[in-house]
This record gives sequence, C-alpha cells and structure tokens, in this order.
Amino acid sequence: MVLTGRAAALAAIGAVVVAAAAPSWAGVLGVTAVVLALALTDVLLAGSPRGLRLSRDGERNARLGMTATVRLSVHNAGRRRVRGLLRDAWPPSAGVVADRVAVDLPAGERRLVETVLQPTRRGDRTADRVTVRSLGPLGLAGRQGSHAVPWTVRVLPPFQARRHLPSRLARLREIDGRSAVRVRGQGTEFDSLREYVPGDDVRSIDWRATARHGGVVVRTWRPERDRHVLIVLDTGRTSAGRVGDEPRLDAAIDTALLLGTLAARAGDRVDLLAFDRQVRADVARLDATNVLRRMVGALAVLEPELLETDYRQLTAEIMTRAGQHALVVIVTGLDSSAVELGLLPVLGRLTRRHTVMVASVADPRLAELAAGRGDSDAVYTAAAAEHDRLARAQVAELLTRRGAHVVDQPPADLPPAVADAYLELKATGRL
Amino acid sequence: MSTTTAPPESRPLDPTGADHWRRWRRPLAIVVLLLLTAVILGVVQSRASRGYLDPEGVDNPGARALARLLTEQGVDVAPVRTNADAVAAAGPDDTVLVTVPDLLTPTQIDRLVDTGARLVLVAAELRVPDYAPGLSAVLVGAPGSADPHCDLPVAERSGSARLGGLGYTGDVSRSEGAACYPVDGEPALAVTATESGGQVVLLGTADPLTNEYLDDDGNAALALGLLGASERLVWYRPVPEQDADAPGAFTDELPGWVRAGAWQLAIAALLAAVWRARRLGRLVPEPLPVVVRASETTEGRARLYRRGRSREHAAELLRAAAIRRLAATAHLPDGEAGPGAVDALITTLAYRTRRPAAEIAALLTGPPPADDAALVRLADDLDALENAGVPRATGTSPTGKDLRSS
Repeated sequence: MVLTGRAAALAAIGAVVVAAAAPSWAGVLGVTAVVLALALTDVLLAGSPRGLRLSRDGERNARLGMTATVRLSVHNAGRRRVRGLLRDAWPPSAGVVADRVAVDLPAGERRLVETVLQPTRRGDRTADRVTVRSLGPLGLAGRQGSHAVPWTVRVLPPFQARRHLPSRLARLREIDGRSAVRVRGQGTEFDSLREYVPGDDVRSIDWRATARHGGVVVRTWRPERDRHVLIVLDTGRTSAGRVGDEPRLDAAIDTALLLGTLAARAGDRVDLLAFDRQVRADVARLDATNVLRRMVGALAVLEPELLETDYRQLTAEIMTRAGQHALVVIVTGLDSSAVELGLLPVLGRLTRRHTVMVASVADPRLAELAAGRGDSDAVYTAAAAEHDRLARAQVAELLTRRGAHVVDQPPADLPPAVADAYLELKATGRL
Repeated sequence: MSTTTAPPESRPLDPTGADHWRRWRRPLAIVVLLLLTAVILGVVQSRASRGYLDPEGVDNPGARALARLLTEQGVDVAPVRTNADAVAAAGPDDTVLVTVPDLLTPTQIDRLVDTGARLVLVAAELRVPDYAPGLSAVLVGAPGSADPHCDLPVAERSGSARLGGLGYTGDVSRSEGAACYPVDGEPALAVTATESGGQVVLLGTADPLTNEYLDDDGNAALALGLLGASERLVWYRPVPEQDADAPGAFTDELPGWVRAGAWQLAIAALLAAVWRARRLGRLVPEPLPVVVRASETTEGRARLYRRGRSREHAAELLRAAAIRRLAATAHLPDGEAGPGAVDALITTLAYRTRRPAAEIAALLTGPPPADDAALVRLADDLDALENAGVPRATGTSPTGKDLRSS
C-alpha cells in the first residue's frame, strides 16, 4: 500500500481542526483515525495492479544517437478501474525520455504506452520492471505492484567513420579500374588483353600476344580480388583506456566497421574476431550485402575486459581462421609492455604467412602533455609524456622491423588511416 | 487490436500475503522468542536481586531481613524512592534511612534536613558537610569486626560490629555527639547534629544492615538500635533526579491547543515521510563499463618524477625526444643513434641556425640542470632550437607516428 501527499495534507489540515475544536489527545487520535480510515477505504477501493496483463512490442535495435520506441500494452484484467501512475523502468543509459505516465484504465480495457529510448551507450539495454501505482477514488492512498515484462534493445555502435566511406569507395573504384584510370601496380592480377591505344604504358605490351595477333596488344591489370581480410579486435585491458570521451574499443569498432565495409565492397572475404583470453565476437564470411548489419550486431555488445590479451592463443585462432595468406589487421593499443610481452613474440609466426597490419588508437593527450611548458610541474609531465611517446615509437619501430604495418592515430583519424593503408596495400598488390 | 497478447507476457512480482508470512515468520519467531526470554529472565532476576539495601531484596546486598525485623518490632517501614516522597513522609519524630546519601543535590539535602527527622546515612562521602557541618569522610580500612570504644548506648549494647570503609573526622560534640567504632583511628560510626539541630547518624558502610552480615557480631542489634529508635522509618533509596524547583521544559508553558496541533502536525509529517519514502518501483542498476584514462600511467609517472625531483631523468628524456625529432627532420638517421650521429646533428644545426656548435652541444648533451628553474629553461631552449633549427615538421615519421603537435 502507498500513501499520497493528499493523505499528509489531510492530516495537516486535521492539525487546524485539532487545535481549534479538540485540543486534546482524544482529538489527535480521532483525526488521525479518520485520516487512516479514509486511506484504508481508498486502498480497498483501488484497482489491483496484480490484475494487469502487460506485454511489449516495438523496436529491438537502435543506433547510438537515435531513438527507439518500445510499446507497452496494458490490459486491465481485474474487476476494478486502475487509475494512477505507471513507471516503465530502464537502466539510466537507456535514456528513457519519460518513464512515468498517468494511466486510467477501466476494467477490461487496454491501453498502449509508448516508451521512447534515447540510449547513451552501446550494448544491450534490458528493461527492468514495470511498476503501477493504483490510487483509490479519493486519491489518498492506493496499491502498488510491479511486473516483469522482459524486453531488450540492442544499442548499435554509431559508425561515425561512415562519412569516410564514399571517398574511400571512390578511391577503390579508381584502383579497380571501373573508373577511367588504370593503374599498373606491381604484382596486381592479370585481367585481359586488349589492343594498344596511344598513351598506354609501353611496359605493359604483351609481345607474345602481339606476335600472335598481328596488332600491338597490351595486358590490362586489375587489383586482386577475393583476398582474405581478417580484422582482429583486441578487447583486453589496453582497449579499456579512455581516450577523449570514449574507450579505445569504440574507436577500434569504428575502424573495424569502416575497413570491413570497404573490404567487403572491394570483393574481399572479410572475417571479424574479437579476442582477449577468449573469443568475444566471431563473424565469418561477410559479404557486401550483409557486412554492416552483421558486424554491427556482433560488435554492439562488446565490452573491454580487464585482462591481459593472450596473443599465443590469439595467433592460434588467427591461424585456424586464415589458412592461406590473408591480411590480418590487429586493432589494439601500442602499450609498450603489453606489445613487447604479447604481440612481438608471436609476430614472426603471423608475418611468415600473412600480411599483418597493427592499428593502434593513439592518445592525443600524450602530445598535449608533451607540449606542456612554463613551470616545473608541466615540464616533468612533458618529460613523462615524452618517455611514453619514445616507448611507443620504439615499439612501432620494432613491429615495423619485424614486418608489420603500423598505423598509430588518434581515435577520429584511425578508421580512415587504416582504410587508406588497406587501399595502399591493395593498389600495390601486396594483399 | 487483437485480444491475444504478444509473447513477452508480464508476470506480477509482488509478494502476496502468504509470501509475506512465509518470508517473515522465521524472523518473527526469533524476535518473539527473544522477547519471551528477556521477560522471563527479567522476572526471575527481579525476584532474586532487587538492588542494594532494598527492603524487599533477598540477595546478599538486600536488606529484607532487617526490614522484617523492624516490622516485627512494630516499626512502620515506609520505602520511598524520590526526594519529594521522602520529604513528605518524614516528620520531626521519624527516622530517615538514606542508602545513597551522595546522590542527593544540596537543595534536596537541605529540604530533607529541614524536616527535622533523624537521619541515618549509609556510606556518605562527598556530601557529608552538607548533612553534618564540621564533619568530613576519610577512607579507612575495609569493613571488619570493630569494637565500640564509646559510650553511645546503642553501641555499648551491641558490642562489636562489622564496620569500616569510611571514617568520619571532625567535631562531633555539637549535640549529644558520639564517635564510635574507630577503624584506623577514625570513627566508622559518628553521631552528630544537622544545621537545624536534628540528629544525624553516619555509618561508614552498609554491611551491618545487609542480609549477608546481619547475623554476624552485634550487627543486628546495632542496625535495630539505629533504625528502630522511632515509630516510623522512612526507607529512602534515592534515584538521581533533578531539583524539583528547576525550570521545567518550555513546552509545559504552552497552551494545550498548540501542543495538540503540534502533535497532529507531527503525525502529518510522518504520513508525508511515508508518502515520500515509497518509490515507484525499485532502482535500476547501470552496468558501468571500466573507465580508465589512457593517459593515467603517464600522469602517474609525471607525479613520480615531480616527487623525486628527478631532473636528470626528465632532462634526458626531453633531450632524447628533441634529438629524435631534429634528426628526423634533418634527414639524419634517428633511433639508436650513437654519439657520432648526435655530433653530426649538432654540426648541421649549428650551420642552420648560425649558432655556435658548443652552445647547441651544451643544450643537447650538456650536464643535467641544477634546479627546477634550469629544467624549465632547458625545455624552453629545446623548443626554441627545434623551431629555429629546422623547418616545421609536417609529415610523419617512418613509423607513421605524429612527430610533434604544436
């Protein structure tokens, strides 16, 4: 049972009555008894929340930054009218715009309550309870009850790097030869033979075919297709570090989305793996039609784990997924100790068979701190920042020397930088 | 709209009356059991031990035996607890036994003295001068069998008795005073007069009156003699209380309607509290992700440098970083460059900036700064050298890393 402000107000008005008419213990008791009796009547006359039948439908997915609407159908199966307040409780990060609504439901009727969510974080948001406070006719008191009406809205990553996609796709078409320009790259795949037109690179003349054909024939080239791209997200402790306003992992997810979409459009086979000490997400054989939907679905619930990533096991996972030569893109953080103990020892095994790209989310704050001058505190901080930058540079150098391609950029620049590095490899036929 | 509901059907979560009963019956049973035990123990205890010199007490420090004896002798024993009762009950011909005389305030003592009753004080210590001017208490040996050594008829009749603990020193000759039962040279029983002339008997210990020792020596005779001298004995066991004439609480002065109204308002406030206390459903927890600033370790290291004042280390790092950047933009090999590479860099820089090579060498490879101010200057000088010595770096190093943000 619940009381309302009205009951308290009534008791307060009773104070005037007591003071004026019956200034005694009996007066106090009498007035209080009247208030309580009225409240009890109200409770007895209030419709029971237990008699409600609730169900939900509506959206199950929402992109971060957009809204999702979940409908709650409330059916009063009880015998009395239910009048009062309904709260559809969600976790704070679900961003419910208004979680309390007034309901007035005669017996046997049904209403639809719309809950608008504006999620503030990625991941699954599960509805908590629906609580109904049903008041009696006097509005002094009532009953309250909760129902479990399960529903989950998956909040998908925002894919902010999407804006870089058109320019990269244009670049891809350029390389692909669907556009006018044809680039002859070293090691690109042989496509077809055609007659020489002035302006063609004389180096691409196929003399043997020319001899057979009679006219001058050139070879044309096209970029490699059907290559294997394996994107690996490190969800270990380095991914938990917050750079700017979001964890490294979010930048990594954006990077994976841009690269995956691009590679799938380029006709490559894209696999995705998220790993720390176990596989957190595993999406295989993405193609251009479903790449974004499947990746976004798998990455939405990814959370950084406070674990040291097990690179030995990760290497084994990579090897089982990519038997032939593949481009392995490891998105991680260039934390010197983590890389030296984890990635470096296994890098040789990876580079022997695959092309390895290490994409790292850099922290622009480091550069900010390193530029600090003016007083001794700032200079000590700058020295510490320089220490870390030197360590990162050394790690990057070590990785480069062992044959990995290193891309180290701040969160906003990392997705396009990795996409560019991929296009570069593709253009030069090094996939 | 269809009458059948979609699959995720609701489930009421609130406990029914039966659930409540099932949930609360065990705690309830435990509470009831505890209460019962407490009540039973209390009853048993109150029978056994009622306290020090209680006329109904049957345990060792009680005095039921003495009270019975006195009643059989025809003395009207009137037990009282409050000062007001004691003053009301005591007349000039009565005897008042005060079991804890030190508990009374001077005002209460005055009022008791003013009744003119004969006072018997048990183990009075601090308040002795208030009762009997000219007398004060001193500590003497523990109670034991003592002889009267005085001509007080009661004492002479009783012979030796168990006395001690406190002795009373001073002039007892104001009325028909007496100082008996000396222990360690001080009388453990003193008879003298109050300010208003009433007789006052000071007894150093309660032992002769208690159930435990009443039948030893002449204890019973002494106790009966001291307490049975008058028709009526007011048995006063004081409780701590305020002086009755102290100003009462201001609420006593308020008119009745204000008090009744205030009580009703308090009830209204209680109802308001109940109203506000009930949430509309439980709190929903938020599964928070781990949030650690990526630059946390850097800042921690900075604090370590600062606390350790490790200027040498800081200067070394700043120089190394500057050399690295300068080498990259001067198209000289960077990384683990030996001293030769640094010398080459210094020569190049000297040529470019038209500054003496020795000055640049001092800046890049000189001794560590002597104090914090020198360190700050060094950082600024390195910046100036980088800005002056080379065109601003705009590209990226071979590792793809940002060279320097301005």
